Amino acid sequence: MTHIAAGDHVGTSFASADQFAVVTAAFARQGLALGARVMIFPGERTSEALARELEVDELLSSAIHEGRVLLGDVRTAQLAHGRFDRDYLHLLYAGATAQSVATGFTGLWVSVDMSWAPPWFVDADTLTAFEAGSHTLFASRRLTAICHYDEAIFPRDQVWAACAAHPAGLHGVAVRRRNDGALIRLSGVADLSNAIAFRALSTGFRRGGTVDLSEMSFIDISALTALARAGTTADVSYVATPHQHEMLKLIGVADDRFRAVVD
Amino acid sequence: MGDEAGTEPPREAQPIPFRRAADLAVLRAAVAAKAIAIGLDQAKTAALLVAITELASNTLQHTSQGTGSFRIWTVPGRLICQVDDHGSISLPPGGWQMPSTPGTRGYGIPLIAALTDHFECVPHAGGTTWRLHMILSDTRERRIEVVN
Repeated sequence: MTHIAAGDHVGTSFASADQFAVVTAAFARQGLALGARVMIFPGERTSEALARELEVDELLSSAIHEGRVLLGDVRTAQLAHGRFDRDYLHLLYAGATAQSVATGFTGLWVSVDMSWAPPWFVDADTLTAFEAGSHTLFASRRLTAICHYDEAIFPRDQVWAACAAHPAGLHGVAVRRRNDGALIRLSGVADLSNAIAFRALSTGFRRGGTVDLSEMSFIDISALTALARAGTTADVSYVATPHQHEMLKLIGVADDRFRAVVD
Repeated sequence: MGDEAGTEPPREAQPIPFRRAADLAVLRAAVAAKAIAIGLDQAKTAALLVAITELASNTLQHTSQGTGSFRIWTVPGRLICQVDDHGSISLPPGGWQMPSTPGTRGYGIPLIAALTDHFECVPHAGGTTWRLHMILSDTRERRIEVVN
């Protein structure tokens, strides 16, 4: 599994319960190595495979015993009101993150089997918008989460959109945001694989603020277009590399808001 | 500059299949590795990475099967990338033009043509073959070619 950085919100899919278990165990080990608390929410189809994986892993077994890794029932946690409640989930994760930090952990790492929100129970577009709009939860980089979509439950198109609604994937592509006073620094990659997440992120910049793109290793045309559109309504200015500025010129949006820096 | 349309890629240019958005990073890594190996300059490499991402994203989003394969190879003085997909394409009357309204959709193919030194689009019975060329010298020739 690719290295996941603290603060990442990762979307992925799985074809087998074993795949979920292996990825979750690796994710948990990374979180523990960074001094974080880990919460795991397996689903009906994945709980047995996860139990087998954890049983043979000494590190994770002892972490469970010590309360550094917590296992939860996914439906009880995510559907406490018996229905999908976006605001409740935001409060739940913000509260759990704050509590983890208050008790001495560096943050909270959460692995969730998304089978609690099948398409016949939660509208696919609503769920995708929820995932993309969750970026505010991750702004402090204290919360790290991986959302696993079961390919046996979610149709291909929904899995595609769900993964694109996460800033990070398991294959090394991630866009990361760092707040530096009034300046927002973006780094990493923005392409089709995280396009929905990037669009949501780019509409959330503070009016009058500055966003530095110069640390991004790759940004595709759709992402640059999304920034240009968002900046029009939010009065945001950007710091871009000469290459990024060249791309902006090509698509006709290199106006005064975009300032090129020497890279 | 000679045309490559109709010629087969060399055997060593093994196809790299792509079927989901996460695979775009694999294609970019292949382009970057080859570009470094042959000394393609930084600006052209950056432009080619954008172009190949745009082209492969189009394949993933807008073709019937949503899959494609990618090859990369060099000929003397030139780097060539090829994408094969199952999409069908026809030349718009007047050729591909940049959209008249900035910041909207429709940049894909005109942008790819603008970013590369030579661009080929070869529709055939099974789909479409796309080739992007980057010349290793300073000579830059931009044109769009459709071979029917």
